[in-house]
Amino acid sequence: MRHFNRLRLILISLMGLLGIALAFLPFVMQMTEAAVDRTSRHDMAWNGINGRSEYQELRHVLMTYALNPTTDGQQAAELAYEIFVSRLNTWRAGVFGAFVEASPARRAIVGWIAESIHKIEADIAHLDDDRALTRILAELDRIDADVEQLARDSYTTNTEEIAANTIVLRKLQIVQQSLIIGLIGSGFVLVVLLLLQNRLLGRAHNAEKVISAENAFLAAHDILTGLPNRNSLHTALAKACRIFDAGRPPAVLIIDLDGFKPINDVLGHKAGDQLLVSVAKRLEKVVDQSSGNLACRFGGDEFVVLLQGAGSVDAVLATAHTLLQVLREPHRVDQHKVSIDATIGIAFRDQPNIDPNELIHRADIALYAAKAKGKGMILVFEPEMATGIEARQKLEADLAEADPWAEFEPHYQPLVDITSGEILGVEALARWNHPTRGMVLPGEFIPAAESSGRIVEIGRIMIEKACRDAMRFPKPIAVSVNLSTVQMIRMDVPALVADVLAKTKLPPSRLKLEITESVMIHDAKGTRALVGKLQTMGVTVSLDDFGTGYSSLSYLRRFGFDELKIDRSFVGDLDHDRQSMAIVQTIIALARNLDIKVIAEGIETEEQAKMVVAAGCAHGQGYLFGRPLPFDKVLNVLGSMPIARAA
Amino acid sequence: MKSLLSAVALTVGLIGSATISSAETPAPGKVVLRIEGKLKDGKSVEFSRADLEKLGVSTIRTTTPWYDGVQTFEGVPLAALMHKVGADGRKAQVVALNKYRTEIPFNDFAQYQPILALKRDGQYMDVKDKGPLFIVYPFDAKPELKSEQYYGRSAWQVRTISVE
Repeated sequence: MRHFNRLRLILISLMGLLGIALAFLPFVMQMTEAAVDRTSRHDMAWNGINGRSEYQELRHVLMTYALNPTTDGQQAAELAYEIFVSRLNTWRAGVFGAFVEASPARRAIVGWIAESIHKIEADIAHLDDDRALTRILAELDRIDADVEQLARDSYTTNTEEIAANTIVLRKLQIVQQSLIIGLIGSGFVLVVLLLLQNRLLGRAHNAEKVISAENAFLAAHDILTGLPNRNSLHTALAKACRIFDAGRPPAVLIIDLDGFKPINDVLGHKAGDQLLVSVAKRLEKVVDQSSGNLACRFGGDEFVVLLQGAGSVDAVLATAHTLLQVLREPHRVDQHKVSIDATIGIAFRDQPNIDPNELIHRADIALYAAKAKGKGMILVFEPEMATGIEARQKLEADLAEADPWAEFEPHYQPLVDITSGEILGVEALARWNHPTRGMVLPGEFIPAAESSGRIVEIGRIMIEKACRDAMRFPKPIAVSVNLSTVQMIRMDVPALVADVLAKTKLPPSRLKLEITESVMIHDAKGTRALVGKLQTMGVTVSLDDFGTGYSSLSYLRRFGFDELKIDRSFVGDLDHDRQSMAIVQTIIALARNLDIKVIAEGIETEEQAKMVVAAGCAHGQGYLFGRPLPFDKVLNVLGSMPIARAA
Repeated sequence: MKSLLSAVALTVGLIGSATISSAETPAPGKVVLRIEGKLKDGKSVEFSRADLEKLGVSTIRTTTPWYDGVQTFEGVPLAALMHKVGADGRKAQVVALNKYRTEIPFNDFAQYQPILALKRDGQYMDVKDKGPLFIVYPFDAKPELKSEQYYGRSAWQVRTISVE
């Protein structure tokens, strides 16, 4: 930019100089013309000197006649006289006349000469008269010096003028030469500037090209990972969908990373970015992008792989498995080693009416279904899935429209002393009584409620109803309510609990809140504080589903839980898996040593009940002891003691 | 008779003096120009004023260094004159009464059409007035003629032209 400005300045000054030269030029030309004119002006020296010689000729002819008077001599003298008169006339007119007038001395001289010549005019006609001749010669004598003077003057002036003119011409020549040099120099400078300009333009053009290429790249690629972006995907898909090949249909694989969000939250966004870059690199290694295949970042933590129909369905599935395997290898992120899993949804373009958007949509549905099934799944789209999605969407719509207070209620499942059958408490499990759907279990509606945020309202209602109902139990037993991670994030739980306890007047010792392990990954510090606060209020806090998730023994120590509930999966395996027994025993021993109460969940058979007791756990929950029942029905059960075991 | 005679004498005297003052202005019949040299017949030719005027005259109106203001010159175009005498040469050597000499290339006659002037402002020129013959170029019409070169060729009191 600086260069351009400087160039512009030079060009403008150059133009200014040329303008001045141009304005100056006519003046110079005029002066030169005048000087040149003067050099070729009528030569005055010639005139003056010629006049002198004509004067001398006149005297000579007259003298000759005087010595030898002849008729011819007389005629010659008359002619000579007339010639001199003619000369005198040229001295008194025209350019020479002006020259004479310019000097008083010259004017005087010419005046005298004229006077004398006029005087002898009459005598010239009478040359035979001696006196006339004498007079003539005397008169001519008188003007001798004058003629001489005039001739010399004209000569001198001439040479002076020539000298002066020469100087002027020389000066003008220098001026003109300078102008020429200046012009040529300017021309040269202009050409140089032009070349410079050209080079700058060339450079700018190249820079432009580079920027253009960069822009083109940026437009088509993701900045963070360098993978092609959504735009590129759509372009590639459009191209792939132009022809239909039933035998070799293109496939879209949508890859969703499991566990990305916790890592992003715990280790920070920089680490999250590094993880994405690591994932991208591995995708690039697996997917051969030279043959029209594409591995692109679709957004967030979603990646899409497009495989042009080069292989069979099995080949695509094999690639998907390879991708999963490769992605499962630990990633080095910010001095840590992290592991993630992935879920893949696949759709093939096996019908000509599937356009790019539809293809992606189908892969998305497959992904959704795969996620519903669990982590690390690969599923290929089937038309039935679409109906599943519709059902889910309908559920979400219904949920949005629902009247939570009316439609959501807790069902209660008893917690018993396994040996005696005494009911020690109940767990409140959320149920949705939809007018047309009927009873909807938490497994179905909780995910929808969590994603829509309705869980907050539902959670509050659950706690409130549970506390209220507990006040009407025949016996002062405790009631347990589940708290999900989402609820803990979005609600101010201690405030809510305090509010509900105050409203219902339930003693805090009769309220238990069950928290799952996953919440601790999210916000360890916050969770610890929450647990502490609740315990200060007198509420019991239990760790639910112990042993299944991100369990860490340090959690047990640090968070100070009052209870832990052994996950049903361990209990369910007890009767046929020796190792499960070992684990359960260990958990129970550990809990006892840490002064934590233990409850076994999901006891369904007598055998399991016996083994739980044998392991050292006295309290249990499960279908063996009773299914979850609505309030009015559970009242009956609570009334009778001990509980009758289901056979 | 005596008065008539003296009247005649006076008139003659007056005319004579008038004539004397222009003693050298030749009568129309008198030879004023001689052309010699490479002519078609080889013989030199002489002209009087009348002879020249018979060839047809043209006019040049111009300023000159020797007069103030514009003068009208009437005379024979030199091209025509040379043609008339069958000049077979390339240059004309002009000699004047006062021994002045100058050389004019024949090209000038065609290119610039100078005339051999007999009259100035309607009056025949006598020797005192650069006559009887004055070579005049059209200085005003062709400004490139305003140089010493052509002023030099513009000879007055022309007597002889030699064709070479």
